[in-house]
Amino acid sequence: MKDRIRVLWVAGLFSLTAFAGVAVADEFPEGCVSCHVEKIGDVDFRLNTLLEQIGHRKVDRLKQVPRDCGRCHTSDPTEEENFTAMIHEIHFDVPKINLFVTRFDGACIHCHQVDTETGEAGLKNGPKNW
Amino acid sequence: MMARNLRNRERTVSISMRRMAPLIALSLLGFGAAGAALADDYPEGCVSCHVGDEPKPAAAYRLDLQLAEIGHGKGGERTKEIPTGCYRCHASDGEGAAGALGPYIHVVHFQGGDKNPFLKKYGGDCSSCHSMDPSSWQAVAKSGDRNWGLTIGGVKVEE
Repeated sequence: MKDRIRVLWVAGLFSLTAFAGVAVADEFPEGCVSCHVEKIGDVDFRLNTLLEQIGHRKVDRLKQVPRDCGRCHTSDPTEEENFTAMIHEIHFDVPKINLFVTRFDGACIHCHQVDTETGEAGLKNGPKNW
Repeated sequence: MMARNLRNRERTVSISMRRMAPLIALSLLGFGAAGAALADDYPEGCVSCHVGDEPKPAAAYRLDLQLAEIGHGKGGERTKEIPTGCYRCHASDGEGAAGALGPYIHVVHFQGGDKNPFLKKYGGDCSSCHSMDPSSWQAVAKSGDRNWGLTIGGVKVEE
């Protein structure tokens, strides 16, 4: 029994040592397309599918999301219908019942990242998944 | 550059918020409490956390005391609202007399990753310092009145 406890203790110590210093993994390294995937339950949650449902023009030509969305959508905050505002509203409006907030934590770092050396905040980006 | 921006703006396809409504609806459960906001533990940002009079824990040390220790100029004594007043010198666009505040504050709070006390000890995240302005849907820095008294020549004065 003592040997078993010792083995477990050593194994535990080893695993703690092995993981010491390893940064927390980013569950959503590619932003939009890390969350908007083909299957969330029975729902096709990919952006091309959602956009088609609201009558958005075809997005087949995009390669990187959201970088290539900027070909048409401005992020200029002085423009009333800028892309940033639209995406923030979709994800944060009515936080008590917004799925992004209530089910997915609603964290900025799902979509944004900070360079810890320069302090510059930016958007994550990834290849389209459709 | 300007011409390119102009072309981009001309190419901008404006999808009205009304057309986005179904997408917004998809992200909602669709009932109750419209417009309600979640409680905020740090409504005034910097000064909601940096409240301590003692050097330890350093991360919670009051900002005027921290700044004095690192030889920061007297601006901290004249600044009434934090961090809004800091922008007088630390303008966000980097055009101020001192460097932009945002990147510097990000480094202080995130350098070292999950070992940084802001993350490790206080469980901090973006929303500790930033909030979403629901009128413009832009992320903004929270702000609050300084939590130290006005001093002139090192002497505290009544305000």
